[in-house]
Amino acid sequence: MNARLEVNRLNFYYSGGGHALKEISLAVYDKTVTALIGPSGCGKTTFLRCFNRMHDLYPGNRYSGEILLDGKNILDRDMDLIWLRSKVGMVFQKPTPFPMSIFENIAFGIRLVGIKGKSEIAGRVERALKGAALWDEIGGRLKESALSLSGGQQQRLCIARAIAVEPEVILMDEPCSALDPVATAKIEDLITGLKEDYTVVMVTHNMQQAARVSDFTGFFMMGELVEFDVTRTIFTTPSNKLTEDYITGRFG
Amino acid sequence: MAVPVKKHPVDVTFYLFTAGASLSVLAFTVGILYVLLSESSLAIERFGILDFITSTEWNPVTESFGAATTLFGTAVTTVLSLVFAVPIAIGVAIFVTEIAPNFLKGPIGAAIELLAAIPSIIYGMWGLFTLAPIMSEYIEPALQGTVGRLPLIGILFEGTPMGIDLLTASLILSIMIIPFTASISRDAFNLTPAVVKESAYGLGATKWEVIRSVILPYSKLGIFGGVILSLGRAIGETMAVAFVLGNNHQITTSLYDAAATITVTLANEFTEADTDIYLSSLFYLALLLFVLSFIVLAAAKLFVIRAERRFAR
Repeated sequence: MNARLEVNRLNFYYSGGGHALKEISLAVYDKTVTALIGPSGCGKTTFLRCFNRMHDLYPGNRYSGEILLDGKNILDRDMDLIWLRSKVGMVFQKPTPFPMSIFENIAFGIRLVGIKGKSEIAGRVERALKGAALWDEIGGRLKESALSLSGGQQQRLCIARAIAVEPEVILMDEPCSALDPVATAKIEDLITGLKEDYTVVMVTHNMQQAARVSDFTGFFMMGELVEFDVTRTIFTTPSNKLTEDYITGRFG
Repeated sequence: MAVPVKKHPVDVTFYLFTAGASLSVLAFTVGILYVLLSESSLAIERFGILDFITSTEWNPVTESFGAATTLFGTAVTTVLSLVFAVPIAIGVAIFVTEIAPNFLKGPIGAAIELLAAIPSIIYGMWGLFTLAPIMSEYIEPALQGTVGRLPLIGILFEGTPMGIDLLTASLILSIMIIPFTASISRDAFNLTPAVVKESAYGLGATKWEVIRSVILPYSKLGIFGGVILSLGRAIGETMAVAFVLGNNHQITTSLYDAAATITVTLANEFTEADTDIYLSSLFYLALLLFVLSFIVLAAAKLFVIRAERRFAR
């Protein structure tokens, strides 16, 4: 298996001085789903947000170590963040539709990567909506405001928006935590389907979800990566006592 | 059945005090409206409503009064000042919320609030002694020589550049309302949830693309409310324009002509009003201003409430 992302001895410090990630090393394999689990405040979301340098939006944050995307260190000072974020998409905890129509929400990202042809944009919007299993539900309502969709639909719209840019990696930060079980099931199906074409890294608080959809799981605690392995191994025969305690619900 | 609750005497006193304070504000407003209505009743009877608003006469000698000229002056200075102020104010707000580094955000924000607190008479004095000479000497002749030669809009720049005219007054007014509009726009921009901005950045958007496509649409209702609030301020502003408008009751096509606004007329002419009908007409103008401001502020409030409701999720 090919590593799509390779993290080597990554450290991250927030502007306030907090050492949020300590010496993290792991590999994210191509066209797999990697789940990041751990108690609140363990650094898993912080870790996720390193992959698209989201931390750079806020001054004073600092990285050390390296994250290789196709052999290139994305933590390099001269990394083109616009390019990086078109290669590494992100879906957030709460749905974040833009205050515009459904069509425009998806076309927004497509135009950002420089595609201008009307028919090409329309084709890409349709493909993205189909990819996010939304086309049948809302394909006829493209001109309506995205804010009129239900929460689950909004979240799938955000996934459609992310895949419309055709990234290599999609980051998901607890994508189902604001959704009901039915909407959650749909998103989980979608994630399983997404790995045909994309590499997915997701943060989740729901251990069953990690077990259901992911191929690899990393367990974080206090800014350290305690254990990283094939999901089945983590959930059946973890090698670390802490991991076992956490997944059996003894703390966290 | 509701269970009767024994009220603590301190609570009762506190209730009475705060309720009384709130009611007094309402009482003052009603009282002011009553005085305006009763004092202007003579003029309302004589000139009617529509005739007063449309008449361009303002002649104390013939005792013939109409509000059209002052409404014209008020409308032109207000609209023009907004045209100057709003783009600059939005620029300031964008810089302060999105672009300025953190160490600059605080000081600039404080400076904006300080500017908003400068008494308007000071803007007026500065306008008369500094801006008006600059306008008449440099800016107005320059405009006349350039855009003044264009067809259609050239008519706006005809006449002698005196510096005491609609253009200067509007400019002063715009400088005065920039900080006010900027500070409201800044609050509107801050309503955009950080995570929505992050989503746009996460798609590979540049700062400009995020501002244009996400933050501005998110804030447009709030900004609109802010613009209307600024409009309310501009309509009611007196001292900033009193010195540089010339108080000349006329409807003109050139921005280089003197004019009069409702507020300036009131400030200048109450002491000269020697007849009952003159005085009553001034009160009538005040009543119009009261109604106008009320409508504008109510509209602004409505927009701000709607903006907040839409995004308070």
